[in-house]
Amino acid sequence: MSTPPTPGTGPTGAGTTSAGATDAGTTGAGTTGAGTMATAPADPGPSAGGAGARPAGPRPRGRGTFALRLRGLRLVTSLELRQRLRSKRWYVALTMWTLVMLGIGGLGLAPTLYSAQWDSVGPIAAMVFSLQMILVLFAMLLVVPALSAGSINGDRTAGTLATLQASLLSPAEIVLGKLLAGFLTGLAFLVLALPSVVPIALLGGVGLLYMLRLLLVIIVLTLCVTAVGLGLSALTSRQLGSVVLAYVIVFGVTVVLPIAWGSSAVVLNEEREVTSYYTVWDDESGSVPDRCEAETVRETVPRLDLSLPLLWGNPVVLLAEAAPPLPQDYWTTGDDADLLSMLKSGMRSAATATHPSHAVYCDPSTPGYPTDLGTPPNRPVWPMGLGLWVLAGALSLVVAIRRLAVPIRRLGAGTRIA
Amino acid sequence: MTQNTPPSEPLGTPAHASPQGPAPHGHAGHGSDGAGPGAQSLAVPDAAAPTSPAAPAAGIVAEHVSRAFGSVQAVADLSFTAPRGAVTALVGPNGCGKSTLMLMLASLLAPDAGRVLVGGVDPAQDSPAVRATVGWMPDQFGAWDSLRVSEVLEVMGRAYFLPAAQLRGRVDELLELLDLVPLAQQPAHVLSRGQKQRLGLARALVHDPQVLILDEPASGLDPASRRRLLQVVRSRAADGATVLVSSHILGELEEMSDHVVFMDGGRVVDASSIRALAARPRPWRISSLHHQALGEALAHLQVRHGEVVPADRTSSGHAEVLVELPDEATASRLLADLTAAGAQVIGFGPATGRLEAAYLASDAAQREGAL
Repeated sequence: MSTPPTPGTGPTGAGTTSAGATDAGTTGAGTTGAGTMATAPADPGPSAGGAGARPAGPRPRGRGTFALRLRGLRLVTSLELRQRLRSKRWYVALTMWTLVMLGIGGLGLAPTLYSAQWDSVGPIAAMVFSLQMILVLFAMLLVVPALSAGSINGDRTAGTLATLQASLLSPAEIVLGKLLAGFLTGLAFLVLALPSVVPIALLGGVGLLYMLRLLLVIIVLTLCVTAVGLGLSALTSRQLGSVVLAYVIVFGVTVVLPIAWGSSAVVLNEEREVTSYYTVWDDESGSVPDRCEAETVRETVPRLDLSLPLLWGNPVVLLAEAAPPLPQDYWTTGDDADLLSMLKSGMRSAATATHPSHAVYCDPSTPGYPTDLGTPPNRPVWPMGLGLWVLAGALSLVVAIRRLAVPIRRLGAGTRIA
Repeated sequence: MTQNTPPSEPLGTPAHASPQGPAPHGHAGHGSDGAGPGAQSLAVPDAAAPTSPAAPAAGIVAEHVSRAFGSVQAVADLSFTAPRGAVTALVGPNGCGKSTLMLMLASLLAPDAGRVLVGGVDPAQDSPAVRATVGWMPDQFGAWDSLRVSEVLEVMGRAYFLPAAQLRGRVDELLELLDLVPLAQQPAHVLSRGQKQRLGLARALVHDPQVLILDEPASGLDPASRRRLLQVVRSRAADGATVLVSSHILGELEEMSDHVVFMDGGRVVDASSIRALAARPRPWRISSLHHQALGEALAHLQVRHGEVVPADRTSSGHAEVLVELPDEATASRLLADLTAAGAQVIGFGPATGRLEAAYLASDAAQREGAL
């Protein structure tokens, strides 16, 4: 619509319009004491001042969109939290949560105490503890998406988002304030879950550092899932849509992708050279094993390490990564290990490429038994997993902030600003 | 600098859709000088009144602004200007783009083409500067669950980063100003529509904005609250603020505003000062003690008029007739002549307000079958 200046008014009218407009631009900055205006490079200059002429070049997108002030952040967070603190259903939810978590704790504790002798209660308690931490993680994953995934589009429907957007709060303050509020609520849930795991942790003699590492993983996941939920709620117009989508993502990562990973074993096979060690009998009678001999054959080996990225973001895998490694002599003694440790070592071996491959069929007492086949690389999974989550969370936040940037250029179908 | 406050500029767009069709107001005996004001007579006598020589002419400028939502063209190539220190009314049928225009002025929505200047600043260039000067009252009030009325104002004050020391006083001041003191401790979402409207206005005023954009502020208000709204809006304008207000209650709007911009189909179809509307044709109602005397006087003066309704068929108990007159000067002469002709006139006045008459003469009203 770049029609020439004012088709109706004639040349003099157009002249006054442009002069008036640019004049308003310059004097406005000086007279109307709004401090920020003085710094505005907004004045397009006399050349662009003509009616209908659009400022040349790309417009700076959403000035001040990413501005972040502590007061603004605190305001949005307190606004969100205040609404939750005042509604009864949140107290109902928290009470229900505490009761369910205590029930789970009791369910773990009772059989442990019942079945084990007092001197051997430790290992069993440690095992039950790891199981309970997984349950706590699942419970958190059930709750956390609901904390933020309906936040932005819910406010949009209620008509309160535009009010905040029209104020001096920056989009970054609105989004991060909401993130903080959702995160703090998540932490409250986590704190309320602790009473159910602490007794069994004490019984099992679980190290404090181990416990803290597990909590840290859950906390980081809470933060990232909250952020992803916010991004979804900024993108979709309906609250229900974004909440369901958030659950689909969490469920997909937690359940569907592991199944896909397992199924990939069918496809991901490779013909490779495998070194097998067989016992060779020299004498004809075949009574005394003589020596262990290597033989190289071609075999089909699974390559589950290739599809392992499917499991990087899995919350349970990430939780297991915080567990201590299995004791060296675990496979001979078979005790003093918990579920998470086993899961961790399982994942680490799955992460290791199956080549060079060795298959040893000899008895360890046979001469020539291969004592050193090299150490597996023991690659950690958590840097990739947490990296993925942090990346997804950060990306979601940026998307949410950009979606809230005003003036809004593109509006989702069916959404109203106010 | 003073020359940059052109008195005829504030109403930018010429009235290309002339609302006064084939005016049926012969009134031959009274020198028909009022041939209907053209687009040129949009002079705004009082608009200039520059309080200080440095005051910029316009608080709000829209230049060829367009905005579409999907296939719906909400605002199309719209231009208008609202001067500082005055109240500009925005009138048009539902869905004509008023709210969309206001969203763009409140820096919430970007135009597809063209630009708006609020206080001389383009929101696309510096949105925070615009938001600092604009107080926006949406037509639908969004309430935070479970926040009390005073807390809503407090939150809004914080959202504009008012100093904490100033905030408390400002909230009390606004509660007082809009008669919200008895409701201060009520949860905001249980308020009635009218109460919410008052809270909405208080919310828009919290940072003492220089530009006030009110989207149907009067809907749902009781008569006392409307007086209050009128006072608030007038006093803001008197303090030099630019006020843009939309409403469908035209009588009220006429009392409140200095200028009017008529919109239809996303465009400005007409613009005028309220004062200049006096020079436009509108129907006048003449009531008389005797319907025959009135009818004869009208016939004698050769005035084209509607049916003279006898007293027993009117609610007022007087004989009444509607006469379409081109302007107030003509009306004044007609009154004198009718009195002289013994019409026993007991009432003589415009049948509709100026705004209403102008609106009803517009294409939009014709289309919707109001006449």
